[in-house]
Amino acid sequence: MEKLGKGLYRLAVSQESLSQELQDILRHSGVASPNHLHEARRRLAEDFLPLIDSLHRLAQALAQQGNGALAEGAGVIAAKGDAYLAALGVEVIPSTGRRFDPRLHQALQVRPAPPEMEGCVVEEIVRGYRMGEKVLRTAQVVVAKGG
Amino acid sequence: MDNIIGIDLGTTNSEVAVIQNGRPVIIPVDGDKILPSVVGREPSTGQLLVGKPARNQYIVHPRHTVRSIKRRMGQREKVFIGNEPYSPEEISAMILRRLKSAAEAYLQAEVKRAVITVPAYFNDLQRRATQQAGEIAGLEVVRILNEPTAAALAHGLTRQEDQICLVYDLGGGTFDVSVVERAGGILEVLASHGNTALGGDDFDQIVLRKLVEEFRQAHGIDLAQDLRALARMTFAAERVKIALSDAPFAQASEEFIVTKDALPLNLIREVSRQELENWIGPLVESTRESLERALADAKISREKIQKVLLVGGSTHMPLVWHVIEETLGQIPHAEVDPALAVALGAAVQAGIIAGEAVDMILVDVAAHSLGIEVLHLWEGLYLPNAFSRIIPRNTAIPARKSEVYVTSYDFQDAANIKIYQGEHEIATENTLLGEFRFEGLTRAPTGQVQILVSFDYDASGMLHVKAQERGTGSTRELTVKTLGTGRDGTEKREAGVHDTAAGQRRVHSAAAASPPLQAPETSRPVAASSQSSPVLARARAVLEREVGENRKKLGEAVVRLEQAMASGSSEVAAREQTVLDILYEID
Repeated sequence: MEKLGKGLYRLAVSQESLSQELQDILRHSGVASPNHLHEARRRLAEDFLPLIDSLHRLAQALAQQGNGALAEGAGVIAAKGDAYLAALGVEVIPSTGRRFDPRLHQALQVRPAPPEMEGCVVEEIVRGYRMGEKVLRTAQVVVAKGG
Repeated sequence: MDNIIGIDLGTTNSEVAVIQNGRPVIIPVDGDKILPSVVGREPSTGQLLVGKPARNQYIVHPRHTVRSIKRRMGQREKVFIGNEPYSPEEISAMILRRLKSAAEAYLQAEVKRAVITVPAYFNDLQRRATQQAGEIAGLEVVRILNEPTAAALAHGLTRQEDQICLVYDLGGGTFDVSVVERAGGILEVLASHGNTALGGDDFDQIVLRKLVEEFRQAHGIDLAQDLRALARMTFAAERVKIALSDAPFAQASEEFIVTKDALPLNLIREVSRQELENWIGPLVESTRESLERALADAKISREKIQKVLLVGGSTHMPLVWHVIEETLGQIPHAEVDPALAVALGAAVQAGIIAGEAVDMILVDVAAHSLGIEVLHLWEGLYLPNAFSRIIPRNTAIPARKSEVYVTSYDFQDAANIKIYQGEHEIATENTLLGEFRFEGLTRAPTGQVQILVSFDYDASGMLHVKAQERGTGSTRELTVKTLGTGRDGTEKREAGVHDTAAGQRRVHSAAAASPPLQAPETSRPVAASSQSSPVLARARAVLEREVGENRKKLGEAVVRLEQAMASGSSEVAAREQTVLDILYEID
């Protein structure tokens, strides 16, 4: 439980640094042209990604501990984070089971797999996000190669 | 108007820039300022990939991906993408073509001509290969420009009288130092030295290995064997390294990094700048030798160097500044973003060739160093009144930097924070911008209470100072106006103390007398200029108050030391010791 407490503490710290980032954006943005606004939104989304990652990890860790209600609650919070990103216009890049696409996926490792899986993503290590055409973060993945 | 673009064709990354409205600007490629110098083909479709996508597929398709082609320039051997052979020029041309098309999209016009930079040590064959690569890409290469020369151009060296500068270039994977002279209107590289296998990536790897090893010792788990953990740790290690350029501490905090006995483990590790510098110190120190060799090869003494220019992202590290300052006796310049300086300089050269009026690259920099007064323990002597620099001169602003200090005597519960602007190692020789008193410190033995002092310097010349006791969060803040750095150098300073702990705003007319903080033992004193040293500084201060025999004795020793320093005599150390001995007796 102490570990979970530390995890939650880490989330609180992330949130604090995030609000600092927000203030920076507001302070430095100056004139707000549509381009600036788009840029500010993109930066905001990018800054939020690590926090959303953390929320998902928290939900997962709680689930592994068999902590039903807490895990469910954390899952709800993570889903709220996802909804927030979606509202900013951010989409999740699909990866596992898809054909490896170097424009969207970054290969970290290859792994032998059945021939029909050759060239496909078999595991997602870090989730990827895009905002329209712009890839905010490539998905970091394991790709099937050589059966 | 016919645009000429400037290209920094790098080993790891490439950039393209152009003169617009008289100023060099970086042209974005796919929304980014830098393009990874990686080329490949998707094996299934045969489609050409340049930049990030090519880099992304390297692990899956190494035979269809080419990296670091710059290292092969001028060689005859073909490079293969799948079964297709290519010359190094052809591979480089693919990168250049991508940069050209990005420039055309940005300028909405065809681009036919370019200036391309190469390392100063490139031989004729390598230069010709680079020129050929440009031609294959459909670019007339109007000039092959040395990278250090480009950096000098970006820093405005075209407009000054004859002078010599030194370019210190520490990138992701290579290190170069070059001496560039401007004489009779011509820029020339006098000497160049370096290490083609040293860069920021090495520093990241060292931090990563340390963190992984510590975790293994603590928990018996090798994170390097866990891909998920390793990916997160790699990212965390780089982030910590970057953060430590501006702050004395940074935290690698990764929750639930791995599971042991069905329980999640967190990695929460604070790394101090001191630790980082101990880890990477030998690598950074090794650049000192290149500095000295470049000077020797150019046959000039360090006093002849008028300016030291920084190139490459790794030059943000304070340790790099320290090594340069110690070796060359001056603070380096980073007015132009070191990561982009070469491309911007190539654009300046392009603009000159095109006959355009090129303005200086206008950036706000700290015209003077900013810091606080501290007690400095040096060779067993307490030097009161020492100046501890927090934001060095020439730092691009806005800037935010912090340093840590400790209490200077047992149970010290208040400290005066005096903010100074200037270059002298004695604080009071600089300009006092403001001061405030930090009360309510935790009472503890000397050195146990740590106070983090943060400087946040904005482009309008306002300096926001925050002092915070580590561990308690107790904070005091003050905003002062700096002198001579705003657009109007005549502005007067204003100060107001903001007591955030009490949540009230009040102004101290004068802070009650209270001792300053102490620089931690690990800190470096402000490097002495050629005419000065901490001992000399202290001796001069003592001289002012001494009379009679002591004054005479110390005065003579000081004069002898000054003479030795002025002539660069080997007696300096011995004479300094004499002054120190006298000081010890009477101070």
